[in-house]
Amino acid sequence: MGVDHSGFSPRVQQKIVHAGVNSVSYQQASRDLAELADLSVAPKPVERMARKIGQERTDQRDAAVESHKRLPLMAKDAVANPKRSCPQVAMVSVDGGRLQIRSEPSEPKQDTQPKQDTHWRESKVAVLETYQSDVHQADPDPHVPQCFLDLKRTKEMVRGLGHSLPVGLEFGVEKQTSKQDEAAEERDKRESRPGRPERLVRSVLASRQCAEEFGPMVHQAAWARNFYGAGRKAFLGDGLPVNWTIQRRHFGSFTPILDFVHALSYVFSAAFAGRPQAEGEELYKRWIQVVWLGEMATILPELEVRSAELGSPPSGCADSDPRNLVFESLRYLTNNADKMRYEYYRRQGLPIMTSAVESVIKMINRRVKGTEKFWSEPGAEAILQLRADYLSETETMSRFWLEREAQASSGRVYRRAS
Amino acid sequence: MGKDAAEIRREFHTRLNEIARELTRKLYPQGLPRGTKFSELEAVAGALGDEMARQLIEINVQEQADDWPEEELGECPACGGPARKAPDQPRVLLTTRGEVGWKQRVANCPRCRRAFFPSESSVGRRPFRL
Repeated sequence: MGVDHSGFSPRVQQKIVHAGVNSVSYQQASRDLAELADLSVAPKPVERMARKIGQERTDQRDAAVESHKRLPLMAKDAVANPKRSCPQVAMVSVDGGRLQIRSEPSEPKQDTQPKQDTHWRESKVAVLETYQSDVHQADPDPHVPQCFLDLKRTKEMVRGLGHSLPVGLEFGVEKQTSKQDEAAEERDKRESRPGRPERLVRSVLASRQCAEEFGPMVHQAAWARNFYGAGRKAFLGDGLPVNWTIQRRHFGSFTPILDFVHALSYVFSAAFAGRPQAEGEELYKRWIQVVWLGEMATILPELEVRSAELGSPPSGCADSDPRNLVFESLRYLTNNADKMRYEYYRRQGLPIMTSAVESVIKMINRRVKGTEKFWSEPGAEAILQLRADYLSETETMSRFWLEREAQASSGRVYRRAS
Repeated sequence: MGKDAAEIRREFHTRLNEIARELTRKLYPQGLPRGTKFSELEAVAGALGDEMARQLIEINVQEQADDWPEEELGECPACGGPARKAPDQPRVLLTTRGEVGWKQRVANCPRCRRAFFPSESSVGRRPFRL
């Protein structure tokens, strides 16, 4: 009848796992089950059940990846299911999260490991989204959005990304001229950015596996959703080289795009580095408009000149040192210049920001990240897998439960002859 | 697979209505006492519904467990060897409507000295020590 040895019916198992994965902790899950479903289940059985189901899901995922790896080279990047339609626009975005991993008692202590922060480890997260958008003859939104010209807000956003800023940068609420007011009002009236692609269906992957193992996982997941048959394809990253390695190895036919906000953070810090604030403001507003248009050839020479003026950063200089800020910005923007053709991407109806994956990481963090939360490696992999499954809009968990019960009830059923 | 739950609910609507009326007469022979809070009525109705559902599950699970032929012992899931009959084992399961219990046929592997439920297929199947 589809009953296993857990002591819980399939419906109760579904509720336990849902609560265990979507509540902030197993303790809270136990309380939620009591309050919302009149089920008395202690935190430990909730944890055990989540671990068990998470393990089953990771086993399924690994089996699917292995099976995909065995496909002929051409088939790996082909349409997985020709009977299903291919998306108009497919987007893959990869980023990293953080969580604390409990060290195993048998693990030898390494003197080389840094003393502080030893439990924090990285997780990998990928978001696969389909979009609907038009291809435009001309840039549908040639002016940089007003929000990126609000310097106070932009500074907070850049700081939020963990980016170093020049010391002493302070912005008050900007006084706007009536003309600026009108322009801002006009922009606020817009429901959304013109030409912005409309998001359709999201699926999520999360794992503790390294990039070498994570790349094939994302590849298989994109393949299974017919992403390789999409009309337009984009791969978004924050500029970390490892993400571009995944793109080159597994998503060669996808257009690599650097997240606009990460590009902005480097432009912002370089514009204000070692200059009077008023001068920096003018420069930033000019540069960010140029970056929005993807005309990197205009500002890279300016940055080179500026870096030469300030000189190379000496070793051990502060992160906020103007020499360092300009040098790092020049390096980052030069390395990623070919992935910053934003005007072209907008015309192609492609997304240009990694907000999707960053938002998903926040939702995953809500469950897994906390100074008081420590995971074992198997526990972390299970919860990451399930959190990703529940954040996916592809009904992954509904299908899993149906298949699991069907498999368990596939034995012969006897009925008395009446 | 049987009928869809919504279809069954429609089919038994009249019969369930009769049962509900009968239970109401038994519960409140003088009618619902004045001042009864809605949440109290909801709790009583829920408890009766849950008990009905729980008994329905229990009866059907027990019937299906009893239907399993005694001679069909299957093979040991651990070693694949022949099994022999062992005494039926009580099982308890927490459902969304409360606990249900039934007795299930058990087979025993003399080689592994482990018992298992021959009526169960692979998922969650594991031999256990008696």
